Amino acid sequence: MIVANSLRTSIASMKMTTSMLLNNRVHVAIMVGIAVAFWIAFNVLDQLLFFFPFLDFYLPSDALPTFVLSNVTSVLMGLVLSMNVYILRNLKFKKISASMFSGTSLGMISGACASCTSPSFLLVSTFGVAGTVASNFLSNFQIPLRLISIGLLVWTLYSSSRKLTASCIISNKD
Amino acid sequence: MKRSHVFSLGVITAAIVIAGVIAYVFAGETTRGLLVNNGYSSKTRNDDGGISANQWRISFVTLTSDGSPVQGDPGAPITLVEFGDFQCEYCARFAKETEPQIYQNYIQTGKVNMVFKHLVHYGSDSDLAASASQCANDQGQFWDFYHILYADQNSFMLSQNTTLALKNLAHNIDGLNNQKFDSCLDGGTYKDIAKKDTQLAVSLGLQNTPSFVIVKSDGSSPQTLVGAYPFATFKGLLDKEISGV
Repeated sequence: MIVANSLRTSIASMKMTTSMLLNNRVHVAIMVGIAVAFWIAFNVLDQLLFFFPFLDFYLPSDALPTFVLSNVTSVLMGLVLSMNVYILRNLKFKKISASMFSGTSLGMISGACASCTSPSFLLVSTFGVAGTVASNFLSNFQIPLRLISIGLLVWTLYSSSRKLTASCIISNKD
Repeated sequence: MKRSHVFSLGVITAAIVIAGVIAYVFAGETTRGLLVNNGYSSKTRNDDGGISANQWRISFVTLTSDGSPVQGDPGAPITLVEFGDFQCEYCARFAKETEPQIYQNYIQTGKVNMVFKHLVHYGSDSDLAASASQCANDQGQFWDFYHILYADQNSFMLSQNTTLALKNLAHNIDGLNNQKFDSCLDGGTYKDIAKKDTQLAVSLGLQNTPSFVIVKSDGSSPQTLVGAYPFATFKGLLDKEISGV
C-alpha cells in the first residue's frame, strides 16, 4: 500500500514536471534536439543508419530489440538533459545528478563497444585475452546494459522531478 | 536573440556535437571506410562517397589462390570480397539479410562472384570457427556452413566446448563427410588461415567486420564498404560497377 502510494506520487511528480517542460518551447527544442542527435548516434553505431555511400536506413529483424531500446534511451536522454538544463537555469541548488552521466555513458558504451567495430578490435589487440573478454562481455550483454542505462535514466528523471517539485515546498527557514 | 534562446541553441549544438563525435569515433569506420596508405593503396573518395583505392590490384586469382571460399562464376566481371568473423553479430546480420539477396540477384545470374576472407576479432574461438569453415570448404560446403553458423551463432559462442559445438553445427550439413570434417578440425589443418587473412585485411587498412571489397576481375578499381550495409547499398555500387565493365 505504502509502496503503491509512493509509486503513484512519483509518477504524478514525473508527469507534472514533464508537462511543465513540454509547455516551454525552449525546453521542447532542447529535448527534441538532444533526442534526435542521440537517435542518429545510436543508429549509426547499431549499423542501421548509413550516410555513405548513400543515405540508407533499414531495420532487420535481429535489430528490433536494440532499436526499440535505443529509441527509449534517446527520448529519455532528451527529457533528462532538458530537465537538468531547466534545473541549472532556474533552481538555487545547481547540481546535476551523477546518474545522468552514468546512464548516458552506459547507453553510449553499450551501443558502441558491443559492435564489431574498431573499439573491440583495439580492446582485443591492446589487452589480449582481457580485451577479448571485455569485448565479448559488451557484445553478449548489450541488451541488459541498455536496460540498466534506461533504468539509470528513469532514476535520474525521477530524482530531477523530485528536485523540481520539492522546490515548490515553502521552507520555514525562508 | 534572447539569452535563453542562445543558451538552448548552445545546449542542442553541444549535444549534437558530442553525439556526432561519439558516433564518429566509435563507428566512423563503419560508415566511412578506411584505407591506410600502406603501399598497397591510396585513399580517394568517389563522387558517390564510396572509397576507392586505385593502386590496389587484388585480382580474383590472387584472392582465391590460397583456398579461400568462393561462390559464383569464377569468370564473373565483378568480385565481392567479404572480410568477416564468425562471432560478429553484424556479419551474421549480413549473412541472414543481405547475402541471400546478393546471391539471388548477382551471384546466381553470373554478374558477380563472392570470396570470403577471415578477419578475426574475438580470439581463439573465432580462429577455430575459421578453421572449421575451411574444413567445410575442403568438401565444397563452406557456404552451407557459413549460413548454418551465422543462423545459430550463439550455439557455439556460448558453448563451453567450442570444437564440439562447431562439429555439431557442421554435422547438420547435408552431404558433409563428418569424419573427414572432424579429423580436419582436430588436426588443425587450417589453424593459421585466420591469422593470414587477418594480416591481409589489416594491410589493406580494414579493421572492422564485416568489411567488403568490390573489385573488377582484373583487380582494378577496388572499392571498400565497411559495415553491414543493406542490400540497396550493395545494389547501387554493384550496378554501377557492372555498368562500367
